[in-house]
Amino acid sequence: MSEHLSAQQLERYRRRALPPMDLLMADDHLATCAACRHRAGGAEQLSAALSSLSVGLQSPAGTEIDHLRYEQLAAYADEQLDEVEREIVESHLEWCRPCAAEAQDLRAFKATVADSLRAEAVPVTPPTRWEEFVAFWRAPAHWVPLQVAVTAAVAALCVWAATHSLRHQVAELRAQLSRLQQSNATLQQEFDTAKGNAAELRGRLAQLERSSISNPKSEVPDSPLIAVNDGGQRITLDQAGHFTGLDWLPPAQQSAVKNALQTARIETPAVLRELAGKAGTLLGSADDGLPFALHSPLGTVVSTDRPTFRWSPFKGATSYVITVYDHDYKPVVTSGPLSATAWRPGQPLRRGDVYSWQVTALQEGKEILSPTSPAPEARFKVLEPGPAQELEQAKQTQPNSHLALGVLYAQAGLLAEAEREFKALLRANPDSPLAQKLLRSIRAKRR
Amino acid sequence: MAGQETPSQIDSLLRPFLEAADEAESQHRLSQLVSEHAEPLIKQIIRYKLRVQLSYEGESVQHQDAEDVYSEVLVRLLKLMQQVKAHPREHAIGNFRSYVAVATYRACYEHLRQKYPQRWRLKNRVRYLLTHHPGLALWEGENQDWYGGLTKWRTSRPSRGHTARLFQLLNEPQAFAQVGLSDADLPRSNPAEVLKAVFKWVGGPVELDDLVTLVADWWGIKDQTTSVDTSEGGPNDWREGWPDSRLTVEAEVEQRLYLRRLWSEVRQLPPRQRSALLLNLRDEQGSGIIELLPLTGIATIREIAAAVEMPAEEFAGLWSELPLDDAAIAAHLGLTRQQVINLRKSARERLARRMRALDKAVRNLSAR
Repeated sequence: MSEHLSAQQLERYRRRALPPMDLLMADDHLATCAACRHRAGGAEQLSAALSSLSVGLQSPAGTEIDHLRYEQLAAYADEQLDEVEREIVESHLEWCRPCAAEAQDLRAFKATVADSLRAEAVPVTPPTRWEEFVAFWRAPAHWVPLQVAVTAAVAALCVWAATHSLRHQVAELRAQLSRLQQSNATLQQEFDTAKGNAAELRGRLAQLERSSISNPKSEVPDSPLIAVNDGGQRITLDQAGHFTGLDWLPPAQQSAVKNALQTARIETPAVLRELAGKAGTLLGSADDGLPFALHSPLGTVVSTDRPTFRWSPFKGATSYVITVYDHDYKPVVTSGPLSATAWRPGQPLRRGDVYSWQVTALQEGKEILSPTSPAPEARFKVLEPGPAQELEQAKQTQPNSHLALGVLYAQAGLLAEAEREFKALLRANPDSPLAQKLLRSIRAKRR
Repeated sequence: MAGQETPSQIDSLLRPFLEAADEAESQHRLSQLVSEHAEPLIKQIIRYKLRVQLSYEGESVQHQDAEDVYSEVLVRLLKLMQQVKAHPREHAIGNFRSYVAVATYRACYEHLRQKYPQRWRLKNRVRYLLTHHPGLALWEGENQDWYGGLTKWRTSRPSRGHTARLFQLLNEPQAFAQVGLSDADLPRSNPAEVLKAVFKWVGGPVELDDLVTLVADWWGIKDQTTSVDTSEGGPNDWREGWPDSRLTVEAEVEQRLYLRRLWSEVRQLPPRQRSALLLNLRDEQGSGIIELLPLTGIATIREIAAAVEMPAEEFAGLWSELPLDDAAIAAHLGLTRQQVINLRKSARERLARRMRALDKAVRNLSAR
């Protein structure tokens, strides 16, 4: 095409609307005709075109570089990349010094260990039990205690052999004693129940007597099977299962309280088992990963999302740092150095999550952790938002209803709070076997 | 972007920002999105990966490294958000929090890699052993954590007891003897044997990073912590070599020369990289710009066709459809979509580096 392009052709060229052959002809002309290129705006747009093409042809994000991943480096060292992947890796290695150094290092390392890896491909003979025993025995950390332990074991073996028949007799006597203790416990329980029933019956008899004196012609009323005083109210459950005194509670919560009255037992959530572990140990001796005792929260659910952590002082400690971990053992919150043995986080913990906590005591430049292995973790759970709100509502509506609050706290897993409410219930009903049983039941759960 | 339709695959967290009616609201929504959903997550990951204490609630971060990584992730995120706002379809983010998490993990790894190159290489070696030795294994846990151990432990994760035992090895002088090794033996020991002995003593899997810490200590591998010079490490300053945009004759000549050099470099790329780049050539706004090459007299359509190894007539038939999307290019080249993306990225990195090197050489010549 020797003639210049028409305005229409140029417009169609710019809009990419020319058929393939016409496009190529127009393009051939443009390649040699600066005037047409000028008309098409190429020269005027040169600065903008430079900018656009530079952006398009070079790094678009400007600063973000994707270095080679380990998997690419390893496959490159193993020569297991296909042609395309190798091209990508080698293009990167051409200019990226850190990646090139890593690739070189890994290749060199591969060459070093290649023989051993080949040799290891043959199944390795596992060490014999004797070798394992000797290796374990030789470990200095185990040496002294093991010597003591083995000496004691040998002595125990001698004693065992010498007292075999005697032990047999002792075992029989112990079994008998255990049976008798069990029987005694059953009798005691029956006695308590009978005593409670007798007290109830006496109460009912006195009521009947008063009733018959004041109104000799009236019929005997449908007297309650269970009755307790609670927050200025009388809560009753009759033989027909009619429940009165806690009408302010939603039906589901009424049902929970009614069940507690009928069975004299407290239901707690399954999560407590997960939280508990061997929680009692954390309050016990200073041995076995517990240089100092942790007090609360332990093995329980807490209603607040900023619980107060309490622990015993460690002799000579100048400061403490407490760390709270989430379920994946990741630190969630850490205190600064503390002189007190109690701390409350500034940030709320997430509700519904299980946490564990650990205290580091600083003593003469040394860090002493509690608890550590083999002691169990100090776990707790922050109550979910829904139940927390329900509890708060119940507390605000009837702050003195110890029975209802005790059952609701226990049901949510807040054992300390539940115990506190049942103690108050017992104070209000000192002769009530039911109040005693409820308190015993919650205390048993806390152990 | 106000009034523009938001694609359905975009995370609903981004919608208030993308659908903001004006610039002020857009800025407010972006600030809200970042402070409520991105910053806490970024801080949490940095705290965990760099093991440094970060402060809460907008207080300044206390650790310089952490601050650097934090700022870097934030800057990248804000940049990306601008792109998402401009082209929501092309930069669709299906899960914003997940994107932030991955970007932060990457930034942390990159930081550690730059700051501790020796340790990073050692980590590669340990990973290599764990992935190549028949009795050993490496597996990924949650949150991009990697665990190492014996093959039979593959489904389990490290307990605190295992970690405590591992650190006992690190902290006690008799540690070597406890795993059946001696100080003198260590340099001569087969590295795989060392790992096996450690696992046997620990009794369970351990976190890869913890294992590397132990091995680095035993083998005396320490990095001199120096600031990282990235000037030759990547195309960070790729715009530096541009001629300025003065519309003088001199500037025009200079610009044209620059573009010709750039085109010359494009032609020297490996063929697949050329195709991945040219068939998808776009500007910052995502619009196709391949027609600028012939319009500025830098390259004809026939030359571009030759660069992508297509007959001119076939390429002319494709001209109106350019830029092609990655799936179409992948089908044309017989590759996967991801390979096309990686090839294009490689091409751009190489071009940026080559142009910078050329520019440096020209400046040196001018200085003489």
